[in-house]
Amino acid sequence: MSRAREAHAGLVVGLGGLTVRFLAASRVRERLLSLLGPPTSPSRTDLTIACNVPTPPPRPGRPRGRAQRFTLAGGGWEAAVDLAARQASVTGEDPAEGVLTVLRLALPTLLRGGVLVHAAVLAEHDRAALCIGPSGAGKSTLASLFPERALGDELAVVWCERGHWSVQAFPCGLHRAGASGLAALLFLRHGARDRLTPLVPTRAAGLLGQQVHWPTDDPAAMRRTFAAVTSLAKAAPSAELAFRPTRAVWRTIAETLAR
Amino acid sequence: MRTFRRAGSCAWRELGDELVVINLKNNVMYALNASARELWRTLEQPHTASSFVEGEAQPTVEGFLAELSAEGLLDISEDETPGDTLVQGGLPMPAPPKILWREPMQRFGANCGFRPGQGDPCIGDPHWS
Repeated sequence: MSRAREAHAGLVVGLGGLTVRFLAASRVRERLLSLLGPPTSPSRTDLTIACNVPTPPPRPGRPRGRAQRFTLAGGGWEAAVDLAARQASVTGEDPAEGVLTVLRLALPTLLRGGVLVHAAVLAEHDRAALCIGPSGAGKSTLASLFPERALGDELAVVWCERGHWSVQAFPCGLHRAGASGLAALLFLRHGARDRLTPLVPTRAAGLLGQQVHWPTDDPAAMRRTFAAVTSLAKAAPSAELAFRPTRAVWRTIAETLAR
Repeated sequence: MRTFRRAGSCAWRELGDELVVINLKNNVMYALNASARELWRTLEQPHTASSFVEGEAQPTVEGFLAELSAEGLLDISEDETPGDTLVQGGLPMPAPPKILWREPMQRFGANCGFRPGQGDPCIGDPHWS
């Protein structure tokens, strides 16, 4: 198969309830599969990313609003993104790195009923605790204490479909592909002992909002993100988790997952 | 007569007894207590401060409405016709209305999750067109 035909065969993966189609050569597709998990069945496409191949012509009739296009560059790659057309192109020696950056920037605008949040994810039996906090709060510490349960230690996508909240680690830092049902929101801080302090939904919404990537250039997407943040704060039990960095903290986390 | 009503650039949601609201002009989120939530519910229509409460509590309510206006959450008009008095004897206010907290919401959250050396360096803001 020629490189062009091979690339246009495409790779489709699911991320946070969205369907992302990649047009790329097999070497890049394999790298993306290792980062983003197994392919899904092609249905609708929420975003098409062309890697080192020509971008397909935009679909007609798509609205083009303010701040819907941007360009960016990193070490050895360049990207151009048109969110209104749901298309992006990444060129360079290692486009996978650029793809992840494009996804990180595009997801907050594209997600419907979901958010991208600074959080580690610990899961057991399809019940996950979203362990939320800024740098230094203990996300990586928790994930490294429980490598068998950690889906990720830095960024997570949380989304709601048919009333069911799911979580998936965004591929950066420590992460494993795969999604889990969401059982609890835990706001991390280091402490002298392991302790859970329940939070009222308004406080949970505020703390969650501080760690969410907001699509600040797009008022309609801001409204959707606000709705997702408040729905999540209302739906999921929330608590502040003060913890010491030992495996004994799992007993406290398991309490919240069992509820 | 000065009237107040919710600004169109806000989104809000009741959570339990309280309410969270975001001003989409400056991307600041606020939480309001139960008394403030009662006020907020009625501010879909323009109202004067005196249409909510009577007597000693009126300056408190007027000050709170001015505070919400300063935050861009309410529009003030001198021209609009106020709505009717809402509740005989005033709205139920177990405590003075107040903003519980306010937090700015950011594109990258409180910190950028990507660190140099992790394979996806923090690249700063993209160039929008």
